[in-house]
Amino acid sequence: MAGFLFSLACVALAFGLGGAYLSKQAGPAAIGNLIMAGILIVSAIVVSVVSVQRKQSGLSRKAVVRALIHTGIAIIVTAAILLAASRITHEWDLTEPRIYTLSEFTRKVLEDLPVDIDAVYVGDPAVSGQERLLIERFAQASDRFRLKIVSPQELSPEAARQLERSGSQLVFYSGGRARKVPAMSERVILQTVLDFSMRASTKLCFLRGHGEPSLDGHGERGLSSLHGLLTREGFQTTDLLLAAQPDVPEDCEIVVVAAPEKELLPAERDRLKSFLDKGGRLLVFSEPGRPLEPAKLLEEQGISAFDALVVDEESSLFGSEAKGTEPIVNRFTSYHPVVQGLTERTAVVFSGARPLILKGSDPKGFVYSGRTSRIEMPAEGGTRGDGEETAPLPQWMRRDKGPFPLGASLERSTESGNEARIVLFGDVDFATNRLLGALYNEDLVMNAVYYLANREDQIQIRPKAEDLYQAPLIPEKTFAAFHSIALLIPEAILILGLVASFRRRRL
Amino acid sequence: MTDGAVVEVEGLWKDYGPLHALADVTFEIGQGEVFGLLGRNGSGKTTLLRILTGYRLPTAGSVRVAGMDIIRQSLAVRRRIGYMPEHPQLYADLTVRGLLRFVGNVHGLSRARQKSRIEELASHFGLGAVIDRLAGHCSKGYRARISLAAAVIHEPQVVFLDEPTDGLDPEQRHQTHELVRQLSEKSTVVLSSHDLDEVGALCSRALVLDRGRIAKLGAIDELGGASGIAEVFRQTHERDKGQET
Amino acid sequence: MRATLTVVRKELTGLFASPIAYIALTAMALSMSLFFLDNLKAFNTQIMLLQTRTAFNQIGAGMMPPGLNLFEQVLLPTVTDTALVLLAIIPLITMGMFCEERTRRTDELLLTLPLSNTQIAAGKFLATFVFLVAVVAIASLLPAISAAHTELDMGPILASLMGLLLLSFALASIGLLCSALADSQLVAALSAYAVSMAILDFSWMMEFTGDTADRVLQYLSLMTHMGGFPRGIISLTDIVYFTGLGLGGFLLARVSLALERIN
Repeated sequence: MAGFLFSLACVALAFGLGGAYLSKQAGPAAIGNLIMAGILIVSAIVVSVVSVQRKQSGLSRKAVVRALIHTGIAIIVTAAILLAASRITHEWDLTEPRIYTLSEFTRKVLEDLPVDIDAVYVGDPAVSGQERLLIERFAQASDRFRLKIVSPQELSPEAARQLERSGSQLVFYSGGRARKVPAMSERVILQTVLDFSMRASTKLCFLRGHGEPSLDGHGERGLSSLHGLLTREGFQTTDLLLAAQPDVPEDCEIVVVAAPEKELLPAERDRLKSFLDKGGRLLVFSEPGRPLEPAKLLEEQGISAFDALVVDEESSLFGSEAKGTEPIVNRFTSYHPVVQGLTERTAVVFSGARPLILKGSDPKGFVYSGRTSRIEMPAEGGTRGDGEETAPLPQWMRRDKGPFPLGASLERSTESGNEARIVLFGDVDFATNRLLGALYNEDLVMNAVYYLANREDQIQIRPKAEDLYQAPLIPEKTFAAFHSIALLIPEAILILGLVASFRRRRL
Repeated sequence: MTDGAVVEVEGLWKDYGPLHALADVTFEIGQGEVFGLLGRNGSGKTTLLRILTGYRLPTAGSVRVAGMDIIRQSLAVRRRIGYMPEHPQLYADLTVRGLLRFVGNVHGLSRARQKSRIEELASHFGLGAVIDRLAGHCSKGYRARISLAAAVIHEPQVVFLDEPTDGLDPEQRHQTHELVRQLSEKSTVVLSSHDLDEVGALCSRALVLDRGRIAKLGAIDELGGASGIAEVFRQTHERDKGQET
Repeated sequence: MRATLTVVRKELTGLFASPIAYIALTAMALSMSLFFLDNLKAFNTQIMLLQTRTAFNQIGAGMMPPGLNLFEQVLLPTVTDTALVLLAIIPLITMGMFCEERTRRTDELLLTLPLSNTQIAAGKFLATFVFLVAVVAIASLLPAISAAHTELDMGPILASLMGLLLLSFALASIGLLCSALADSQLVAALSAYAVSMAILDFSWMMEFTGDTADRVLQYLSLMTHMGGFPRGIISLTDIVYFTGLGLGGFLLARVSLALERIN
């Protein structure tokens, strides 16, 4: 009788659950089936207990009690294991680019989080999607980062509408502020975290008035991306009209000279010199065909740039207007703080870069063009940057092949006992909106900023968007081969089964 | 309890709900005996054998086989016994050799010992023709012999045979009787049957069960041989008939 | 140990002698290969379109829009579909493991041999697991060959296979327990389907439950613990969860053998 009731319960349970599972909701038929299954299971248990009570006595009853104790132990052991499992957080990331392993940079930011952040993720709590897996990593990395998962049904209609409009699933709250996270990648989430955890900020003053690219420029040649990146990482930025000021303002810790199209006024050069003498920090970007500023000051320190173009046809961005003029570069000096974390596998891309000339032992080059690169002279001879005609290409640069320095730094103790620092790049395009997000360009620029701000300890490679995840294109021919294998394997198994069956029949 | 008893049963009860399949059964079987269990269908012979072999638990009472308690030392008892169930069902997917090897392995026989025992049993029980055939495909007579071979492959101290000749033709019955006689040279044999002549011919002592209770127990001669036992059967039959009317 | 291995060998002989074994192997190899290939092909087409569109946009070339990746497009649907195939075939494999002994009355031989209930249950569980390893190994041949020949990331593919294996162990434990408890193979299979479906995914039930119950139900759902594997994450929580289910099934099946002797 108990068996019969149990069988009926199974049928009701299977159809009830099957219906609910397939339709993803519990309709009246499913609910009815489940209630029926519950009643039948309870009845089956009652019938079996009564029958055991009636049938068994003495030794058998003892055995039944023993079996019940063992059942209890089995259930407790299973529950204990399941409970223990829920407390474990250890896991292995088997993806080749380790996309679920937070980058050192992110982990460091989360470890030192100065504020509490409450993250609210809106999504089906039952679905552990790629995005949720990622946001859970953030919560695991810091006690101050708390995650709450909210089902879309729990939201008010207004909140749901807002959410739909913004396309965001993740909202951060901290110190009374709220911010939507626009996309679910480590990078974007991190940047929102950084927004909330501004550190004591370093101010960068961007020299203006000589045709430099604008901090707010959203075009390809603008610097708005760099501006945003600096702000998100806690730096302050401002424009600097040096001609109208008696001196570089006190709060400017780093002055950025981003490839001016016109030469600086002598007074401006003097102000920069005095800034540097007081231990100021200078970030200089230069471009072929434009004056190198402040050229004299740099030359005194042993750095200058030759007005020529580094061309690398072997390794450059596909589809450039002039072939090889956008070299992809992965030669970094291993010990230099600016390129800390950058390796052969983490390339940067320049566009129309000029080679630097480094004299003496003070200037340190940290990024070089490849061995296959060469130098192409502009049609009418080079300028050294200050408008004067330059001598022909120096002997050491006449060799056919690279490497040529494209970035260099210099440290100098000043009379005031401070340390002045200069970083010079032979290109500005790599830091503009067009290329900043490409490869590891932003890391190179930001590393230079951290170096100039005396914050070398915070130099880390930023997380890259996981959509860089490699997806090889598979040719049709390969698919045809796979299809035949896909059918061959089951066919072989069936044949094996038939052979085994016929062999057994003869036994 | 006497010394040298291989099977000791005392106050054994087995209930199925309100029905007493066995009621207060007490007896002993001595070393080297061929002991018969007699009774009509449903008298409790198979239930008794199932309890003696550890297949089922008793409701009450104590059972010791080979000097060990069947409940507390069940595994040790099962190592020392062999059992041929009624209508032996064999694993259909194993060959006869595979089945004997499986049983030998479970009993911990070495590979070499298994091999020699399988050859020995195959020739002894006439299994040579079917040794590499699937056990489940063999005829009833062969299945009985295979089951018997599996029961004795490890040379057990006690062998329990539940209706070993049921459904066999006269020739096969005769062969089985011969095998039982040979077995009894080395082991104690407990044989259940409702064939009075079979028990009379093979056993030294017998127990007659009637609706789970002992109707008679003693040496075959004491019970009056096959005819004496038949009389017990007739009496119980008539009593049952009287109760029905 | 030797006795357990003897039972394993006997059960494996039985499994490979049954047509269900070959049907299961064929069904799994065919379905997993086709699911994987279909999904991979669709994914490939999407990449091809994307590459054509972005071929002249240097910066976009090689980058993929969010959500278009191997995990979400290929492995996740393949694993989900294969999990359903496993759910369909595993009760058919396990239904006879204990039950058939009773219906064919071979249990009388097995239970009177010097084998403890633990050894018998362990032998049957291990044999089923070994068979399932073969099932998943054969089913994963094509994905493995494809990954090796197309420079797909092997990590998530291996993780997916491990997830399927753990899932199949958990489903098998449920099936074996049902087989140990049921009187007939039909009831064993039916109850295995019912229980497996019950714990496969509790999400539909969450509309009736509160926060805490939601979390518990979500944690108990089999599919919750399958989410990480297709994405290349092997989590100790998931491994312990599946192991816990397997062990629970084994311990209860063992008790059911003890109960059988009481009848």
